[in-house]
Amino acid sequence: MSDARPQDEADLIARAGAGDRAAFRVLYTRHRDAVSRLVFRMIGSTRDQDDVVQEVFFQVYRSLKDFRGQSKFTTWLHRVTVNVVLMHRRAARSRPTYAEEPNADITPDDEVVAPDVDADRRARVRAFSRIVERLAEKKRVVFVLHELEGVSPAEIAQIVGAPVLTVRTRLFYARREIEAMLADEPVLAGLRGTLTGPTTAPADGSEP
Amino acid sequence: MSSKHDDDLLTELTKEAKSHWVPPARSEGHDADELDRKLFDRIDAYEAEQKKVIRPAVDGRFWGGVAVITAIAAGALVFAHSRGDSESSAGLDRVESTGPVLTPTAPPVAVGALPVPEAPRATAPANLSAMTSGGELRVDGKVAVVHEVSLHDGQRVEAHGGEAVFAAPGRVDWLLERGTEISAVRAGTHGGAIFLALSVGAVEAQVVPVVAGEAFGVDVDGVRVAVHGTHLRVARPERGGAHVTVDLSEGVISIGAPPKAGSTVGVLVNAPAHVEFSVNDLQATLQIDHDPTHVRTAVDPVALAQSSASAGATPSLPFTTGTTGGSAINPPAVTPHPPSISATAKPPSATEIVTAAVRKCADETFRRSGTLTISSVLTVDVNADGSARLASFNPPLGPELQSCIAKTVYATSWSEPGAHLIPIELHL
Repeated sequence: MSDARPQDEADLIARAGAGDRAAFRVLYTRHRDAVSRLVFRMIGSTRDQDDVVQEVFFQVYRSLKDFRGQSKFTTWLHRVTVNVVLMHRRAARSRPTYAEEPNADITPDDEVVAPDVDADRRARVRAFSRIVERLAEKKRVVFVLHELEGVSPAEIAQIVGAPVLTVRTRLFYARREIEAMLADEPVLAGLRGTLTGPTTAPADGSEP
Repeated sequence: MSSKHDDDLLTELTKEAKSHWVPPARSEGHDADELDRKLFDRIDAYEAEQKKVIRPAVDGRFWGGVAVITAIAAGALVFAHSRGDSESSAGLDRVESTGPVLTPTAPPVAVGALPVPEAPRATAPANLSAMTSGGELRVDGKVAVVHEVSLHDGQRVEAHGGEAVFAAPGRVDWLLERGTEISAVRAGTHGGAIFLALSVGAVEAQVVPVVAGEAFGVDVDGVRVAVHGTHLRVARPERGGAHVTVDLSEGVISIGAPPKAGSTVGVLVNAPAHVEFSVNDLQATLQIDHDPTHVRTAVDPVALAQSSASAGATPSLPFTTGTTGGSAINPPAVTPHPPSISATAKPPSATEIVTAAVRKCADETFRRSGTLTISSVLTVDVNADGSARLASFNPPLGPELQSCIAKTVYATSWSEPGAHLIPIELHL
């Protein structure tokens, strides 16, 4: 959820809030992928992803006129997204599950890598997502927002409506619990002490 | 304990997930155009629907207010075995505002307002249990007979010439003052919350506390006064008028927009309180007065019904627009206690003692921390001898605060054994 064009964005928000459908469509197009990614990481699968994303933007459309710009638009959008996801998860819990859904929606690598390396990476990411899924709701929210989406604790505090100190506390314990759970995933347990080298380099080329 | 190794491993895995734990690109795996089309079709339908509906009078911007009802976390923390839970601040979120109206830029559904599963409750429908002063109750225009009327969704109810008392056993008892007209938004026919839309007059209710969610509410146009367990009176003196008064003699209410799901997002008000506002602009007009002498004297609907039954007719409770004192009222009983705690003959009850302790402890613990909101449910298991065996908060509060409250809980003599639930809602 980029804020790269704040002036342009402010204009779009104002117009969309006034009912300009074209402006809303631009906002939607601009933020759709980021919202989809956050939704995907928070619900853990693609099964209901489109429904949840649709609900997020529907809520955004309904509420944009109320957005006063006292927080960043992306912060507000994160907040709407988190709320919709949490409501979805709660509703989903009350529905029967007929089969375990394979969480296989890991994006293929754009890099040219050997098939076995790619398969290993997919297995690790899948195992990691299972661990994150096991975190308690509040901890999962702050972990995903901070560690994976890069949102600052101060912004997360606004998103979840908690003090920054609470956010940091949740983050600390989320990390600690994930570390403790690493041993439960055979794919990851084997990596303890051995994870080095190019197979773990991020695709964006940043330093490991 | 985590090691440097684990830290490094987690860092590496997180980096990897950041890049590769992403959904399929729009060109893969699902029909992205279908998503776009559905969204905009839905928006079109919404816009069309909006054009049909008379626009509400209330300024919608207010309704983005932050929910301060945060009873959404699970996992009780037991006093006796308190061990510094990692989520020690759950359920105790600091609010930066000094006033009751909070962040205006919040989304329509706040985290704290998400629906929570309700505890099993009585499911008996609401019945007309008494009519005072030879009055007449009309349901959808037809004269109703006491004990033969159950309220259903959408029904319109008018009390003429006397007070009508309704009872949903184990959940709520309420009375409609003379001249009051309501319609049942949700009659709670099969259990669950009851919501009434008030056209004119006044509704007074004694509500059994619920563990989570809301038990009862009164809607006045676009404003809902919702309760979890309390005694309140909501009055709208003029038909279609914007001015509303609420008198809260015990418990906590939330005033805000009726949500599509979950709890009402709005302003929390603690008893005692006399509240006035205009539905045209709640934010600007909301006035909360905690002076107990300004709170209208509570009338117990149950006692009124019993009195009516034994005497044939009771002195009428004339509907008044007065805001204080309740001088026009001659209540047969005053301020009943929540049924989940069996009160002893003399006040204060155990609930009142504990509630006071919570306020005192919170005040002492967070005296310098600015405005605070505390929302939780205290469960106390009481032994046969009236001593507390176990007490827990859900969601847990901070260890220091819990320890402080525990002293009072365990020192209190409870009148009945078994589990006692006490909703804790404080806005300091």
